[in-house]
This record gives sequence, structure tokens and C-alpha cells, in this order.
Amino acid sequence: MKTRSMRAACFFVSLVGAPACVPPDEAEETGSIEFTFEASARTREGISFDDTEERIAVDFERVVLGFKTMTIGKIGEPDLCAYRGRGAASDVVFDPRKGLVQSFNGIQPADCPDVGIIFGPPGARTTLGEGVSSSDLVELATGRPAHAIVEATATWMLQSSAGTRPRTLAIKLRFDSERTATRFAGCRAAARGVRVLPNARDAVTVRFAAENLFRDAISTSADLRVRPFFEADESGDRDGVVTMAELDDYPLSRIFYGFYQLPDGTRRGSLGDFVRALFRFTIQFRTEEGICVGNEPGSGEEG
Amino acid sequence: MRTTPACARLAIALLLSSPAVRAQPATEPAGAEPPPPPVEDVVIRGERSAAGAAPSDSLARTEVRQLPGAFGDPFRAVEAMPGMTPVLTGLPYFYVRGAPPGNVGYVFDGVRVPYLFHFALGPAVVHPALIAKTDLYRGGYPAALGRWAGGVVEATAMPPAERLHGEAQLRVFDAGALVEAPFAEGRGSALAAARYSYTAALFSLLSSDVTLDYRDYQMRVAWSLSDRDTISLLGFGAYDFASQRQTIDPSTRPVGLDPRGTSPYTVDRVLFASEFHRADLRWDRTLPRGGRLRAAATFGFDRTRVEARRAGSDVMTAARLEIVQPLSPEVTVRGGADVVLDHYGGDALGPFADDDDVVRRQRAIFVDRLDFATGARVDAVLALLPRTEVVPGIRFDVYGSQDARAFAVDPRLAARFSVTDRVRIVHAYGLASQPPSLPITLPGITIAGLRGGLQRAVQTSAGVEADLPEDFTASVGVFHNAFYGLNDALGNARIEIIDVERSDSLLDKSRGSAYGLEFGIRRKLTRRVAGILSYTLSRSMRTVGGRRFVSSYDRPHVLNAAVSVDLGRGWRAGARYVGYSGIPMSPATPAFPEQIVGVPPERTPAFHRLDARLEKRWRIGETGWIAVVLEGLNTTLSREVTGYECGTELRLPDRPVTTPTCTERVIGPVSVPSLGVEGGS
Repeated sequence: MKTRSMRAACFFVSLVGAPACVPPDEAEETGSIEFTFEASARTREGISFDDTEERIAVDFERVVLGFKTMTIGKIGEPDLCAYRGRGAASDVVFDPRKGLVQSFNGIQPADCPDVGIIFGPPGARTTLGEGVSSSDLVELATGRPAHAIVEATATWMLQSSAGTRPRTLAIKLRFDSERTATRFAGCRAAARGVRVLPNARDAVTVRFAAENLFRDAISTSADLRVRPFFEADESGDRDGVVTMAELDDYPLSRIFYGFYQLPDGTRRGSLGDFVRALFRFTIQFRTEEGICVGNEPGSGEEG
Repeated sequence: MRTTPACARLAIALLLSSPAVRAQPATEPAGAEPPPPPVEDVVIRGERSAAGAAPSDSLARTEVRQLPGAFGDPFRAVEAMPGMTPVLTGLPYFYVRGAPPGNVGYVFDGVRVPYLFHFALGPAVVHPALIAKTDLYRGGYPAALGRWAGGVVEATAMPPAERLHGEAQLRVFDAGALVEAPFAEGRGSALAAARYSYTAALFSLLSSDVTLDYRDYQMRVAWSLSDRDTISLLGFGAYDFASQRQTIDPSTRPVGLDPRGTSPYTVDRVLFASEFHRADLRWDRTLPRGGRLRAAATFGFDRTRVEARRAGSDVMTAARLEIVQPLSPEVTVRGGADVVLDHYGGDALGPFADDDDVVRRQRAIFVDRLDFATGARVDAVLALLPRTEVVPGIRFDVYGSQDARAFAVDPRLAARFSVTDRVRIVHAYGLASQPPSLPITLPGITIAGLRGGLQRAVQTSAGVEADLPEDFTASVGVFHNAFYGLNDALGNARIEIIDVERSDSLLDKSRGSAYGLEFGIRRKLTRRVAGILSYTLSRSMRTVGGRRFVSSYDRPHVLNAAVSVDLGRGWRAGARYVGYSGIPMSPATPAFPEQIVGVPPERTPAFHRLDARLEKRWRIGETGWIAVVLEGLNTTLSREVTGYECGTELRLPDRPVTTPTCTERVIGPVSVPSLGVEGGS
């Protein structure tokens, strides 16, 4: 702003007996938080033979998430961290390998420790993100509504006297919203949440780590194991395709390796229950060590 | 969480501006000035407008007072004229023969003003007693008017009075007064007027966090240097302010960020603020044979602040020269030249103050720069044949903004043929050009760099005027306007006025056309039973990217009907009906094949409202008077449907399909009651 000319103008105005010039705006300068949803490196490039205990490789072929919205704030302080504008594309079905950007601008400087992510099944107003088609959306919405689909091919290099022969398994996982975490909260990396500074944008990466669905314990640092999925198919229809239904029919009590226990410490459940519980730990916040923890389905926890 | 800046966005949408340059003396000796092209003289005090102005369109200022819903403001009276299509009830923003509100120019006594009304439904920014007449030019206007591609509203100040006089108003929300006194035995005259709103105090009494305030002022000093020369200084301005108080708690901030300590403090966050000030120093000289010359220099300052720390300002410096010279009883030449420098300053949105695309677009608007416009024009009033008057004219304009330059040549032609003493045929044609504009213009804020080039309009109209018995006058006409390079985010996109600042079509260009029929009949409002009726039948189209469609603010039917009755003993009552068609609707396109979108009606419902006015007036002495006025805009508390919110459904193989419905988006009732006391002498 050219203050000299404005001062001259105001001076002139005062000479002719005008009302005062409009006062300055005391509103604070604002900042921005930009979340970029991505897929983890293993979700993008696959799980290699060396990554798993059984030397089973996994290639992810289809990853679809039903995203609803994000929340930024401080619990108990509803006026903090409010943003200006449309915010970001909410209610969208997307492939995290193609990315999704959520920009929240016009936020007054503040510490916003409570960041949450809400997933959910698509509805009539859902839009399509990059890398998905309306058939993905319909598949999520049809039947028991779901908010995530993960499909992969596992390749197990079996050793035999005849040599090495690969055995493949198609893994088709559909996470219904009734039994799977939809709200992820308490996002933290080195610090909790985000910090808004004036005239600055904090770029935050949020990664979907599909590989965490193959942990052998409820932990993001547990070993990766795929063998139970082969066993579930063997226990089921042996068609080389394992579905969530087959995982639900395969009790954890039949797995004698790893630490396949549900969050309550029991093994009274199925492999399907276990994988759905692992879904709570599939969101990485800022770094691979950062995390947003999914709610326990039916607990009513808010993100 | 999300902020709801609707208040601020509405504020942004609530002021208009346009540039202008033209000046004419307030009154002319009878017969001194040949008739101008057809205009609608809405307000005249004293004698009628110069010969040739359509008498059916003339109203005395006292008559304007009687127009219900106009609150005595001459500028509001123009909305009752044919060709005016309202955007939203009560708001003084109009499409004029298809041209968007941003293409409508406002001029007060030869000086361009950014807007004519205070914030929202506020009163006019010029005291009504200072306005001698207001002309509404809907198209094909004189060469003296330029740099707009739509209509022009031109108000002329009252000439200096020869006696001490004054007026005052006291209303629920504001008070205003005007006083003028001659001095030095009539060689000089001084005038001062002001209006002050006490809304801020009222809000404060209500312990509101919101501050709303408006003021305006006018002053004029004139001095006769000789019988032929007069020098005068006209100053005026207006101020509007709306803010919200906010408490900041430093404990919620990142550590070390807040230099003001740890105790909570309050700040005033501007939602909307604007001001403009003008000083016009002019020298008027009377030339032989009734000619006149005016040389004037104008200094102005405009500023707008809107939410998110955006501000735009304009320091305007201008000079103009105007001459009117009758060469013979049949030929009068009018000419002029001017130059306007606009030094714009802009505080754009901060880098992350709004959605990235909004920030990017608005950086094309809030730009520090020096713009200029200069031009010359000439026309001639030719009455070479009996009962015939032809006014050919042309104006040349050069525009500059940043590195961009543009040149416009705008020819004009108007003609009036008197078929009989009571019946006239009127034609008006012209090309009009305008730099890029916002659909709703704000003081000090325009589109920089002549982005997209000039807007141009080809304006044509023809009609018949007739003087009827019993003081009735009538006019009927047809018009066709074609627009090129138009900036009309409102008409191009299905957005509401409060969303215009965020529209991604804010900088888009379009083509368009508008055609229609205008009909008006009125009986002088000074008669015991008086009235005015105007009707416009029109169609407005837009073309964007090869797609032609009906403008989003196309309203085929607009009807105004007002009646005022003198009840005797100083009582006068009036009512005005305003009705217009809804705006066109179209269903949203499904985002994907399985999505079913609700289908709204083809148009929103028609809107109707009734304004009313009741006045009791007492005379005091020879010239004094006092009146109590009760007036209401939209006494029927009508609500206007601005659009539809349509549901969507998903077509799923395992569920029955239901048809989504649409619900009305309604605004209002926008209703303004007013009780006041007026007096003067």
C-alpha cells in the first residue's frame, strides 16, 4: 500500500471536514495447514520378499478410501483453528496412491493439537477423486457400507525338491464401516497436532500404510506376515482368492505363530476381526513413526 | 470447524461503483441548451429538464418524496423505471437492459462516485435536498457519458441558492441536515450537509460484538468572479464501517508468537469498511449565445477494507474540460476532454488467507498500480428539420493499466421525431466501452491490467412517448443490447450475490445480448391522486465457451406500480407494488452415472412486495414545513426465493431408487421500516 498518498488523502479529507478515515483492520494475519494424503512407500511399491517373515511379496493393486472430512482444533476451544473458505474437498472417494490434498487456509495463529480424520462410506454427494471410478464408489456403498477397499496379490516363493515355485493369492479386503475404525484422532508425530503460524503453511503428509494390515500383532512395528491369509483361503474355498468373509471364518486360535491377539488381549475372534483392528493403525502422520489412531468401532469415540 | 464469512461476503456484495466523467450546469436558461437525447429524468426540482428530455419521465423532487419505498432518496426512485431488473429485493443493484450492476455508472454533478447508497439497505450518500435531478440513461446515451457498458445514473446538484435555506431529517437510525446560505450580497454561497447514523451506538447498547456505522457529508462553496465566471468547490464523501470484536487469548498461540504478553486482549476485525471522498474545483464561464465552458479538477480518494485484511484504495486525480456552444438556433455543439489518473493500492489476500484459487484470482484485483483513462468527445444537437432533432456524437478513449493499453471509439446517435405536439418517436443507438469490472464494484477495487480487454456494448432502442390528458404521460419502447467481453460473474454462473467474491468466474469473459419491451405510464405525483406504472418484458442471454444460455439473472417480467393519494389536511398516503419473475434454474449435472440429482423448477417463484408510506405535513410560515413520515419497504414481509438446494441419491443395485427433492433457499424478509421527522424552509 502506498501510505504516502493515502496519508495525503486523509489529510485532505480532514481539511474538508470529512469523517475519519476507516480505521485499520486489527485482524491477525493467518496461516495454513495443508494435508496431503499419500500411500506409504510399501503401499505404492509393494511389500518385498525380504520384508516378510515367510518371504512373501505383496503388490497392492487397488486401494480405495472413502474420505469424509478432517477436523483441526483444540478440544474444548471451539473457536480455535477455524478456517476460511471452502477448506478442502470433503466427502470424496480416492486412491491414496494418487493423492488427495486438503488445504485449510485463513486460520488464525494457534496451536491446534487435535487433528482428526474421518472416513465413511460414500453417499449421494460423494465425489470421485483421482484414480477411482464410480464403480469403486458403488462397491463401497452397496451391501454393508464400507469405507475402504484394499486388494493385493501375494506371491509366496515355495521351496521344494523340484525347485522354487511361486504360489499366488489374490487378497480382497473390504472394510465395512460398522466393524472398522472410521475416525482417526490424536494425530501426532514429534508433537501432537499442528501449529499454525502467520503467513506460513504447514505441509503435513498423511500416509495410508496398507502394509500394516499384515502385521502379526496389533502394533505398527510388529513383523509382517502374509501366511495366515493363505491359510484362510486354504480353510475356505481354496480358489486362490481370499476375501474378508474367509478371514472372518478363520479363527485366530488356529494361528500358532506371531502375536495374533485382538486389542482386548484375547484370541476370541477371527482373522477378519484382527485385520479390521489393524486398520486402526494404517494412518501415518507426517512421518512413518507418526500416527493417527483409529477409534474402536462402536465405541462412539470422536475423531 | 469453519468460519462463516457470509456477513462479510454480503458486505462485499453490497456496494457498487463505476467511473464517470460528465458535468452539466444544474439548470439552464430556458431554451439555452438544445435537447439532449432521450433520458429518464427522475428527479427535478424547479423547472422541468431542458426541452427535449422526455417529459413523461420527469418527476419533481417533492414527487420523489411520495414514492413509497424510496425513502425520499432520488437514487432509489430510479428502480421504479422501466428497464431496471433487480438482483435482489431491496438492494440497489440492478441489471439495466441486461447489463450487470458493475456496468452501471454513477455520476454526481460531473464527478464519478463509487456508489450511491450506504451499506446494505442504507440511505443515499448524498443529501436528497442537494440533488436537482437524477437522470437514468439506459443506453444510447450522450457522448459525454462513457467508460461504462451498461446504464448510467447521473445526478445533478442543485444550483447555489439565493436565500438561506435548510432541511433536516431525524429518523430511527440516522439524522441528517443540509443548510445553505448566500454571502457577500449574493456573490457567494456556502452549503454544508451531513448524515450521521447512530447504529453503532444502538449496537453498543445491545452489547453486540458488531459495529455498524455510516456517515456522509457534502459541502460546496461558490463565488461569482464576474457576471460570466463562477468558481466553486464541491466536496463530498461517505463512510461505511462494519466490524466484529474478537478476543485473543495468547495462551492458545504458539509459544513466543504473541508479543502482547499473556493476558487476553480484544481486536476489531473489519468485516467491511469503505469510504470515498471527492473534491471538485471548477470554473464555469458563460459563453456568448448561451454557451458555457467548464474546466474542473477533481481529487478523490476511495478505500475499501474487506474481511481477511484485504484493502484496496484509489487516489484519483482528474481534470476535465467541457464546452456547450450553440452555433445557431438549429445547431449546438457539445465537446469535452478529460484525463483521469487512478493510483490504486492493494493489500491482497495473504498467501494463505483463503482458498488458494481465491487468493490467486484476487491478486489480479488487489494490485498496486497507476491506471489512466483519457478521452475526448463531441456531439452536435441538430434541429435542422421541423419537429426533428438528431444528435450524432462520438467519443474516443484510451485506457492504460500496468503494461496493457486499450483504445475505444464509441459512436452515438440519438433522434427524436415529433409526430404531433403530443407524440414523439425516439431512437437511441450507441457503442459503449468499459474497462474490466467486478460484477459488484467496490471503491478502490478494480481488475488490474485490463485483463481480458475492454467490455463493449452495442446499444439500440426505439420508442414512442405520448402526453395524455389529465397529466398522464406514457412511453413504450423496444431495445436490443449486445455485449462483448463482458465481466458478469453473476449472470454467467449460478452463484448468489453473497458468493460473488469467491466465484471462479470472477475474471471470466462472456458475450451476451438482451432485448425487450419497456412500458411506462405515470401521472404527476403532485396531483391529488397520482401514480406511476412501469413494466419491462425482456430476455437476457449469455454465451460462454460457445454455450449460449439464459442469464442467471434474467427476469422476463418486472412490474412497478405506485399510487399516492392526497387525503387532505396535510395527510398523504401511498403504496407501491413491486413484482418480478424468478430467476432461471437448471439442474446440476450428475458427477457420475450412478448419481441422481434433484431437478429444481425452471425458475424460482415470482416475487411480490408492497411498500407503503404515510405522511402528515404542517406548514410553518411562508416557506417552512415539518412532516412526520412513516414508511416501510416490503410491508408484506415477503421472502424471496434465491435458488434451490437439491438433494442427490445414489443408484445402487441393492436398493430402490428414490427421486431426490429440492428445497427453496429463501432470503428475508428484507423489510425496512422507517419513522422520521423532516423539516425545512
